[in-house]
Amino acid sequence: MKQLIIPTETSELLEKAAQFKKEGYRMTQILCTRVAEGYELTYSFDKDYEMTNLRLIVPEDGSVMSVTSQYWYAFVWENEIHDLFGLDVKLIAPEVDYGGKFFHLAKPMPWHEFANAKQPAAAVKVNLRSGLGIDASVKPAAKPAEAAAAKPAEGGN
Amino acid sequence: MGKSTVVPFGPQHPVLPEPIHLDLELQDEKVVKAIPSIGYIHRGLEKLVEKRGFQEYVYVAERVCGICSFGHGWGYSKAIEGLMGIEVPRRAEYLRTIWHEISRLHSHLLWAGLGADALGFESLFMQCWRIRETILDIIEQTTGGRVIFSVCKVGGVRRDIPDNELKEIVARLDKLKKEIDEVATIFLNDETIHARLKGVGTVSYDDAVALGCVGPTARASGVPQDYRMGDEGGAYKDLGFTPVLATEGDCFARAKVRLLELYQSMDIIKGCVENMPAGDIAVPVKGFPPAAEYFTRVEQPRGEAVYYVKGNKTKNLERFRLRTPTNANIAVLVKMLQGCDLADVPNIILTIDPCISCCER
Repeated sequence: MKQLIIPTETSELLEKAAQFKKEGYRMTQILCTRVAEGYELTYSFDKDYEMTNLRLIVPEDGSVMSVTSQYWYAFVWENEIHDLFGLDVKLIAPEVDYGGKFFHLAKPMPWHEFANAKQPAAAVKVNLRSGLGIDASVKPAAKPAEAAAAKPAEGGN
Repeated sequence: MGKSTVVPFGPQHPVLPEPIHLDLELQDEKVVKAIPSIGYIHRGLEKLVEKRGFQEYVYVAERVCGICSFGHGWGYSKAIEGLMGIEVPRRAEYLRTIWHEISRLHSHLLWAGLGADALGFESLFMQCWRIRETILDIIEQTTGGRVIFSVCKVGGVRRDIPDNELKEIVARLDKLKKEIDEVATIFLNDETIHARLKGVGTVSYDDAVALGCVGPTARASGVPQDYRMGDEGGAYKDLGFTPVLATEGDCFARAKVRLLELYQSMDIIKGCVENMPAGDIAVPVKGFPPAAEYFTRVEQPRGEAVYYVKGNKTKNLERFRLRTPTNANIAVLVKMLQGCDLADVPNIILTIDPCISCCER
């Protein structure tokens, strides 16, 4: 399988994605990897079973434009990258921008500990309804016996 | 038109074999919007590649999912072989193809059972899973395992299948074909199944292309997209391959494509047995993966899966990424659910054959 990776500037991403779409390419995936410079993003496009990849480096405090205007279905990967890596993906199509609620995880993401890294703003907004999942922010209720022991009996002195 | 109501669907639901949650916004009985959320079965398996040796990680890759287990082991091994420039013996490629197609039979029969169960057709569910037992018996006979069988490794396969056993498998599949005929006839001709699946969750050819569908979901809309056509690994190129297609694009077409693929998989297995090359089943793997990266793909039962590996001249990889077919089909699911009846939601979800373990890794 040919491995074609084209280094690209973040400012050129939309233009190149539009070009791929015009030429009949299908987007196969977006890959995000943490690297020393920040985030390494790889956008893969397929035509006739040959894959072409665009490679971007986004600084740790940077952001990247969404490609949902060209490939609507990229919202799955863009929401995932936002929720798991904390990268700010700007202007995801509004009807599919889940604002950090796509990946429900008990532990806030990202897992990597970087000195200057910020937790994804939206990821901390995730509030699962009780009974529908694990919500790490909710402390388990005290057992009835412990609660009774902690509370003074009514009518006591 | 009534006011909007939000109905939570999942993560635990009778038709869902695995947990996914959908917030369904309804107006009367019609779904106007579906908002998916996942993460209930996320295990961080991609991250584990930093802690396990690159050869040992095949076992982890196989455990991404129980149904596509062999395919994930194969996809990961293929990616490492591409990265390290390892040429796999032809016999190993043919054996891999046999096990992969047996896994497809296993997966599609499992799906057929679940689909029948979702329709309330319990006896059909039981028959599909009874037939599937024979497939699991063949897997056990040839590998020692039934669902996760760890027979693929970097550089080839761990076990050979003797020629007499290969002939026996073909004989068993011939017998099984008659049993599959019976369940397929019911699926394809039963009026109740037609009433529940025909014209439901329809995706046109243009929409399937625009939504990046993969696997039987794309092929049911007439999109001739199957990585087995372009796969340089396995025996597909030698045997010749044409995908099974339907044009209706509805739930019934997706069921039909999977049922017809059962016959295709049996034919591929027979083709492999008839043309099985002699020789080694594996080559020794020396050294560590170089500081480079490699993409490869495998056509899993649910569609195309993309594998990516990045080495760093050590025993451990720097990055492993898997884009699974369900991950690619979530977008079409969101679109299909818009405008459908609430009662059709389970069937629409099931006909993309969602594998949430794969999707979340």
